[in-house]
Amino acid sequence: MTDCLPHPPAPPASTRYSVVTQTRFSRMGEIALILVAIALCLMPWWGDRGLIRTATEFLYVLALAQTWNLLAGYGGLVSIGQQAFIGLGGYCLVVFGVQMGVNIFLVIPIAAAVSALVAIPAGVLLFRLRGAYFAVGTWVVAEVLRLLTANTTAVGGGSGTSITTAVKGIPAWWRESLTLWIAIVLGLGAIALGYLFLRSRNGLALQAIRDSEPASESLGIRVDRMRWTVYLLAAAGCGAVGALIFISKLRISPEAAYSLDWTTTMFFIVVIGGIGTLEGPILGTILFFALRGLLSGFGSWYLILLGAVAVLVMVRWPDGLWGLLSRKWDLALFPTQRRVVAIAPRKEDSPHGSR
Amino acid sequence: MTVLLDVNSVDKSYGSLHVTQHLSFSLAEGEALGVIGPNGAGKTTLFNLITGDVKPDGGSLCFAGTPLDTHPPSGRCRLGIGRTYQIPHPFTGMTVFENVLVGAAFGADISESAANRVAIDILDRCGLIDKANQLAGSLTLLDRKRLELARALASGPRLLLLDEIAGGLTEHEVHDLIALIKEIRESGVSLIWIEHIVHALMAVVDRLMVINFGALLREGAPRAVMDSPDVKEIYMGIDVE
Repeated sequence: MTDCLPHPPAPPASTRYSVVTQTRFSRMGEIALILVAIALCLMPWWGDRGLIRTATEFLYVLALAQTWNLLAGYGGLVSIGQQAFIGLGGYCLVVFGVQMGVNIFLVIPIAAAVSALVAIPAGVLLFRLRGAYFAVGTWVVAEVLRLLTANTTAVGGGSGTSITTAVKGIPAWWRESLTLWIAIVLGLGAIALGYLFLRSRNGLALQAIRDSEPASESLGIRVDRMRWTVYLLAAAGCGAVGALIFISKLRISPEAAYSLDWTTTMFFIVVIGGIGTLEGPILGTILFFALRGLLSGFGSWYLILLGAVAVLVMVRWPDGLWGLLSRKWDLALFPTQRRVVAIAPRKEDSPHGSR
Repeated sequence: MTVLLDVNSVDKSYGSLHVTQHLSFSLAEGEALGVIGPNGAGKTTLFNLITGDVKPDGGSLCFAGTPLDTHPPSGRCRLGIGRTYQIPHPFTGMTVFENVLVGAAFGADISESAANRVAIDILDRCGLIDKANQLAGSLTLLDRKRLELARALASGPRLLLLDEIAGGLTEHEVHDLIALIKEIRESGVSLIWIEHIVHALMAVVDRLMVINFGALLREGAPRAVMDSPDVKEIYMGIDVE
């Protein structure tokens, strides 16, 4: 009987499929992030000072790594001069906190804004350069800022200055707790923001640029605009973290603030963890702290061993240790992938079944 | 017939090498133009000039009445110029679906939910729906070529530039691809197709253009062009003498 009936045209595919981004793991990732945030926020009541200091450092290094991952991993902008903005952020404490008397914790958003502002003229110059030339250019910008700072006696010149006067009147417990809480906002906030960003329309563009710039441009993505967004965001992030770092250190010098070590740390973490993923820098930061603890007894051999680890990972697992793990077990803590799933046909529909 | 693309006396050289010399032609809305020529004749450069990946040294290009010189490649895509690359450039870390979604969301400049529907329908049309969730980096050559096409189609082009899309495929695969390209044509999309597999071109195009040393050698009805002695000699390597 049914064979005599005319065959109905197949409904358009878009009615038979839908798009999802959630997975079982993503719920777990979100819950884990919230639980970790709560536990860390309560740390001043359960942890000792040493642990709080380590957690603070861990979180701001994580934040730095995420900004560098955004920049190099997604935007294709390999910068070796992010210390420019860390230094600027740190020196905002001297200018706004010590000299103008602004509350030292309120200097953090100011530092982010100042860094982003300085990044505009720097970007105008740097975006004329590509690849290795861009990388060297960013370093030059950082060196120029370091020399300018070292020659400005008003901020302490080459020998630096102390920030302790700006924290007078703030009890140590409060200072350390607030520093930790802000580090949580920056460190975990960078993950949360990155997660939301990557799942948005702009995130789609950013991932496309990561994989192929010419194809992105030929499909209508304004690559330059995305690059600017990423560069300014990374600058603002480094500025904020820079201010936080020197609130916890209470002493600043051009050598420490504009040190290339900041960027090599970010580079190391992102490369061993897994570039161009959100999870990679988290794993990388954990590994970095573990290795540092393990190897710190080896004196100057420590850096050589760290370098050897980086080279080994780059050669054996170019997509980092997270790449290795996620391929092996199909893991994703913060999945940003959009997947197509078939909508189950209702029973009374089409007795011929689906195609 | 309205002119969709007008290429007017375009020049491009790299040092002393003239890759495009005073090249002029136009394409009508709905037309399919085939482009052939020896390797290094400047065929892909012609596409790069149209899409804006390469800037011309002289001459002008006009698309649907809009001068193209101030538009970057992304802007030209949004105007309605889609392209595929000779060597596919998939977004390897993204799924097949996401690849096509990029074309729909940015090329066609529509909301993500509308783009989702467009991308799913195009995947279905191009025979890729079963591979929607695979990473594009894991695809075979045929599927990579299909993905190039699907992605370009998702951007909603009025003009589609196909760069050796049939190259490297088996005879059977070429056959399937021709069917798909014919279907695209029938939906009203204009085509310029560079191809070495001449019989594939002949099955689809209305007009054939031969380029040699960056200059237009001959153009006209496909059969007449292929039969002309100078084309046989230069392109096919047949000595007519």
